[in-house]
Amino acid sequence: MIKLIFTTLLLIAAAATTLAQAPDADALLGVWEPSNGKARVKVEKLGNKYFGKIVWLKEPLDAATNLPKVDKNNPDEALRSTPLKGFRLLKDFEYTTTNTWEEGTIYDPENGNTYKCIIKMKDENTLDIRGYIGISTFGRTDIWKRLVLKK
Amino acid sequence: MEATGTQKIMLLVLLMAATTVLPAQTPDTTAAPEEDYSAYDAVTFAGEGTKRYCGPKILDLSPQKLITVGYEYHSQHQYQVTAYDTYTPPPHTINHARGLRVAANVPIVSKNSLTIQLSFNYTNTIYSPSIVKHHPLLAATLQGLSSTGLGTTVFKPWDERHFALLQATIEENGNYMAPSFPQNLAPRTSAALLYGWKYHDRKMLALGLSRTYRGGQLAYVPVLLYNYTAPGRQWGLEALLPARMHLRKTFNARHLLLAGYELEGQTYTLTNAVPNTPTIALRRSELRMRLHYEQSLSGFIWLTLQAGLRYNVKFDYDTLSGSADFYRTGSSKQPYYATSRVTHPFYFQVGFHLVSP
Repeated sequence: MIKLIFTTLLLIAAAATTLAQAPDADALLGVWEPSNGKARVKVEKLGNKYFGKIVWLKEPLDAATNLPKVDKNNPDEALRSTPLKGFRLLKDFEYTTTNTWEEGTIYDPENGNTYKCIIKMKDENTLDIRGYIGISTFGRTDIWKRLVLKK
Repeated sequence: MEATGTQKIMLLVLLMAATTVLPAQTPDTTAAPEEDYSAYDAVTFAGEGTKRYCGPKILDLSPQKLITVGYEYHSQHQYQVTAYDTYTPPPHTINHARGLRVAANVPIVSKNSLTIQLSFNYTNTIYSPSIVKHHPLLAATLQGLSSTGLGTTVFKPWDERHFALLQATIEENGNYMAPSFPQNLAPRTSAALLYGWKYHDRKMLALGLSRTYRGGQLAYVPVLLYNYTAPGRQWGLEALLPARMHLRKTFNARHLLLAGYELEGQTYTLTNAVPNTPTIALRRSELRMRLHYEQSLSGFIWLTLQAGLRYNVKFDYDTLSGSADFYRTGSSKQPYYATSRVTHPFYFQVGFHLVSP
């Protein structure tokens, strides 16, 4: 019985911690624009992880085919017909420390590469997105800005 | 033993808590379910908008190498000093030459508004046979040539269209072999400063001035950077004139072929070249006309294969006062200490690289 109560308390504590973190962690949710302005990315939560999908493209049509752009540079041939609009390029991010999401990856449709990635929120409307290879030194940081939908 | 009512309620609470706390099973996370994306057409920045900058690359540019380890082999060729101390020795046959090429480029700052990289490189040329007893100048040269350099590259965009590029390198070149290093240093500095325009994702152009040893000796020359990818993204041009120019065929994002040339050169300080003679400097320059293939082996690990003709432009000797170099103008009458004639071998090069994101 004591074991049962102890386990219950642990679970309640874990749930409370999760709930206490939620407002900070969920600050990542929303629509963001990379610095090049070529796309808009909506960050959503699936389970306890955060994912970002392309919801808008500055140039939605492929210049060669005049059809909606697909993920033609994907190293997996089976995925090359996946439409870019709706494509999840941010994957598996977890809120780790204050204003930081890690353990995730970012995909670059321009070359089909997937990079390790750390997201840091500089302020409520600005993200530092660092994609890197192996160690953070070999990487590049991009600044994303929060967007709001016009009513 | 049967559970009591209280224990049953506890178990139920636990199960409910567990479903709240445990992560949901991860669904297919690549393609999201369809939704009405037109809602995202009309948006505004929540806070301050972002200032946009052009990046240092264009689409499909051959990838920048962060770490390189390469090997090079030159076929048989002849080497003859043609004017040396009134004595012209017979031609010397070099059966082959081989070399190591190691380089690293480490990004120190890599963000939208500024990119700064530090670089290191080491290359050498080992001749076979390497021992020539009857000819001190030839002997000093053929004991092997090395070049060790440290450098920096700074890319500073001003906005979406305009940028500046600075590249500077300091190198120690001579007839030494790593890990030994000359005691009396004679560093040579090269630099280039360019101002450029990025017209769109497939074209950038920059103009500037460089201080360079690619011609074998110190020179100040105007430079033109031009990188272009055609609309169909099958073909492109990568040029930094007059140093190099390559036509690029892109098979896909992981395979590409380049055809063109690169001018390579340096001034090497030769120690123990000629007794009781001031410092001897070898002015070496070669034009490499080549095919260059690049392929991703796995993710960011790339293989390069290169083959072509190494056309010798200059292989001459100067005397220097100490380690200081001098600038020989076009109208200069200053004679070389010795000149030489080197035939043009075929070469190939293989390299493994970690490439940049």
